[in-house]
Amino acid sequence: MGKSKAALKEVEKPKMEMVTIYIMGKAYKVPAGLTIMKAMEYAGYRFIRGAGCRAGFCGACATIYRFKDDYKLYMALACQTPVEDGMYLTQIPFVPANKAKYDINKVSPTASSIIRYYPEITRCVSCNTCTKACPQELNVMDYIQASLRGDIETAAKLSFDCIQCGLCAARCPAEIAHYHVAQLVRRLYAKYYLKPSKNLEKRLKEIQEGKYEEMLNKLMKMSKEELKKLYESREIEKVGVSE
Amino acid sequence: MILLRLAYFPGCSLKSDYQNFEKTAIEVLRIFNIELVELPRWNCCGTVFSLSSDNLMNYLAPARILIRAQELNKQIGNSNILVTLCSMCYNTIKQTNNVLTADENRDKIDTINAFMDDEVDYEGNVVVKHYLEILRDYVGFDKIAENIKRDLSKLKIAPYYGCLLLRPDVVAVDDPEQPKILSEIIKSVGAEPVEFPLFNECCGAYNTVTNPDLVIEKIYQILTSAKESGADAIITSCPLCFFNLDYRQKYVSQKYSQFSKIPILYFTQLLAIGLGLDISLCEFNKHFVDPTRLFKERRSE
Amino acid sequence: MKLIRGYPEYMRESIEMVEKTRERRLKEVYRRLSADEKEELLRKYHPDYRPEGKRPIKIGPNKGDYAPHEVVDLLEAHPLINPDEIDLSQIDYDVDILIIGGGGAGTVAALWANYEGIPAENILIATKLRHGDANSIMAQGGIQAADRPEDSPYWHYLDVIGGGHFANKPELVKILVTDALLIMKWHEELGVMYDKDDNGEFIERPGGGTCRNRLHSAKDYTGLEIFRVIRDEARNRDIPVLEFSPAVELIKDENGNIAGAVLYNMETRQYYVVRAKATILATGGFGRLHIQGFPTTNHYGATADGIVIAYRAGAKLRDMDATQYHPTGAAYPEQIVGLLITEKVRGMGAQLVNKYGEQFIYPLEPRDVESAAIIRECYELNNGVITPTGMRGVWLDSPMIEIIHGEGAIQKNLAAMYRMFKRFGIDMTQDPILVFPTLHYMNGGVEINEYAQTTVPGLFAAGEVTGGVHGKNRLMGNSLLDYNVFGRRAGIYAAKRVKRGVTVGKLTLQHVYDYEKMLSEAGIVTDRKSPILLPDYRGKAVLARQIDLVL
Repeated sequence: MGKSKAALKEVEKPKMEMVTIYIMGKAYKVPAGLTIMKAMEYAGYRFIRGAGCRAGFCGACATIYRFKDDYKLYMALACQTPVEDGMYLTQIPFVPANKAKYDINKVSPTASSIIRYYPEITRCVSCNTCTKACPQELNVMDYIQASLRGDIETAAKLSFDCIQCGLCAARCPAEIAHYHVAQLVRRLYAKYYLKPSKNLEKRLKEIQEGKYEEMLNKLMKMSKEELKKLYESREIEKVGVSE
Repeated sequence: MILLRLAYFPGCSLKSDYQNFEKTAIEVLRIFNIELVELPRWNCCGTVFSLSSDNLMNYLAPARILIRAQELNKQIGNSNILVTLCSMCYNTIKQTNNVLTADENRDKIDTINAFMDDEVDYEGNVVVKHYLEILRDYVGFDKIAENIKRDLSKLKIAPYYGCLLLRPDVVAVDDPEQPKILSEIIKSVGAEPVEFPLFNECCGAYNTVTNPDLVIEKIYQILTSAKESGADAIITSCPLCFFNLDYRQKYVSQKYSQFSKIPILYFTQLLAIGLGLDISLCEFNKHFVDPTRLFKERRSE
Repeated sequence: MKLIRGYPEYMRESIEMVEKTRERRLKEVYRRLSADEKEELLRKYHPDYRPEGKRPIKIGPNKGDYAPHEVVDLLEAHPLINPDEIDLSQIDYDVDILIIGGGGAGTVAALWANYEGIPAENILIATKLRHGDANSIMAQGGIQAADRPEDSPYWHYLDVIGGGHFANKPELVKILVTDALLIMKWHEELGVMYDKDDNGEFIERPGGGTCRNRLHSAKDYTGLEIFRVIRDEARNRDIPVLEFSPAVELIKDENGNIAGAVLYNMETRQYYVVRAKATILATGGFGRLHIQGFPTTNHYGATADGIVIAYRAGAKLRDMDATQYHPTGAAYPEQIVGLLITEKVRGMGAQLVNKYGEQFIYPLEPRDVESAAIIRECYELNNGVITPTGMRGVWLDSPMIEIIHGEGAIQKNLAAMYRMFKRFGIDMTQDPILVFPTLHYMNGGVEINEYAQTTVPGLFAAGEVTGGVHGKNRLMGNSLLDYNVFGRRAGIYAAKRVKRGVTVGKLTLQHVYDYEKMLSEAGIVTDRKSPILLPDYRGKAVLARQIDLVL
């Protein structure tokens, strides 16, 4: 059972294949196959900034790197990217970017609304640098362009997987903070384009009217045995989904 | 039955506040069996052609549009034309295209292609045309006249070109000093064109944002000139001109109490009505000065 | 080692067997276990039932209760700070409500306190990492609420209490299932982008242990989507957030009320004294303690800080012996071992199969039963696949989803999972993925009542740090619900406390001194200190030569 401890241990056996990476210019030999994040820890760095969920959801570990004799700039998440020999890397744990303040109930879902809060999107020159910077491989320029012309649905859907790492904003020559624009657009989409659920409305009313009070109070007072019986005899809905 | 499919670039305005311009344009061409095929995945053209010729960044947006057109044309196979409707988009994309197809600019073209490593290269074969040219060259004014369904003979319409359809001369759709194309359209629907001296005077364009008083003055002059020449309405082909000529009348009235409003139309709205399409397509309720009464009063049997 | 589409050659043999049985299995429904069978499975194979994994706490309000060694080690440890060195007379932040923890529960609490009338500038969220670095954003598959006509809070209640082995606090369960609806309404109004059909009805799927399809999701980024919106709202309302400043000790006043906390700025290494009329604990879970050596789905800062400081201040805990292992943590490739693979994969029809391609458990049993079954399959029956690094796992047959729901279903509904595996060369629409249980959730925690109050006056709590809502085992989709429902209550009732009028007496850290005394009186000799704030993953070679020079 405790054999699963093997999964936790860093692979530090002898004769391990090692690669050389350059952390902010300093060379370190690390085991091949480690993620950039684990490799930096192996080398002795202890993260305060630059580590969050460690699973690709939070954007804390945004990293940029190059290889020797290659001009191309690569962007990645340190927690999800294995090291390669010759990587020259640094992290960007924070990007300054202004977020507009608004009352979502007072913002209309139009291009002019979005431009009012983020006028800099009109400076977009379609250079596509933001798209190239995105570690989630989103079509960033496309969603900014969609926002520019008020195509809220397209912008919301294209930007959905954004983890707000900030690399797009860091690289944009027009100084746009793409992920803040996308956040506003998605809220507008969900609030004004998705219809409210009638079932939810109905159920809420029932609860407010106390329809479930008595039966729930009864459950609360039951003994473990009585509850067990009810629990065991639940009819399970067919696994299908209400689509 | 569609006989001709043309790659089409809408531009931002036509998708947000001025959808009526696009809707009428598309339906009018359909009557003549031409389909406008919107480019997949397009971006804003940048609105103004950049005069700093060494800043290649400003050519990127129109360059991408040209590449989209290039690729779409390979699929729909009819031609190498890109049609635009908005005068500003037309002007920007066409001037950029002139730069990107000139032999002496080979190094600039190579740089742009190398920078946009996420796109195929622009091969330099797209021809940018304004919708008016399609009407003139692919449909023909006679053909339009043959298909008119409503009697607009009592209407006197002034053709307003603004700047960008006629200047600079490399992009002019017609003679910059004596253009005829809009008058031809007015004649083809059976209405009477009213020439007036300020037909290519700038409306003030983006000064409407930073210096609205300038715009108010200019359109006061333009509209007064048209009215004094006897016009009932004015047609235009640019959303920004439309905004200035139509919406800014609110402020002209405030400044000049004697000023009486005059309706502004997109030329495609005039065509749509003449060709018998549903008037609701024009969305006249979006205009500041509602043109509806023109067509109620003047329509005769 | 040669890889074929991401997998080592030798693993392909097993994958071929999975492919062979797939068509037959599409029509197979493995039978559900009886109550007795579940009990036996848990007793024999669930890590919680290993006596070697836990020991009784020697001191404090839960003296005698069992908890995992890793947790007891933190409770039976010295404070990080020396109370003599903290000058309580200089107050750095004087607020109405201090919220410790910048995850889901903390942010929801701040918003509802603000709605209740507490001005934003009188609220302070203090968080260890960034605002949003929390387990809340990592939740993938969904949130439960009984809104469909075929469903009801009655069924939801039964599911929760049965899943929790009837150890849940009944009044908390009732609140969870009834407040669920107003939370969903609130989310709709805020603009959370849930998956909906064209009529505006939520698309709802089953979860482990649920008798109705009631999991609402936003693709498989549900946690991230909800949190992004509530954080946006908190920013719009200018609610102050102090990042990289965890609480290292609670402060009391002379009357025994919680009166704030000592925060530690991890970057500048200075401490802050925060005085507050009400304090809300929302510090989340304990995955980074790696209970019993398991890898974890949790974020970097999940080190049970809140449990430690609350316990020191005298708060009662409950159900600390109940640790949840998520059945499907990634088992291959090595780089993502332990990371969460959402239950939604099973909710969409993927089955768990052993190395021979055969099912061995119904895919949607409650999580503890599911985990125990996988452990038995791998270690007792040796029917698991062994990876090059020695990790064992079973297959989660994801290609079934494309067959059941049509091509493109995975990329549409499980975008995060698809992306995660694609980064390592594996296409989960074509090949199954390897899974093994991973440390996931702290079922127990600081005990709260229906007003989110702990047993210490002035201290509220919400979210994963609390105990009583889920009993001994939480169901999928109830954690996102928990932090919204009880975060809201903590915010409202903390605000009410403030509005009723609170006089904060003289600040003191006497309880810390008292705790030290308890340690020595119980004969506990240790150089352990807690809370640990962050785990340490530095390479052993480096640590062997590491010295702390005065800088």
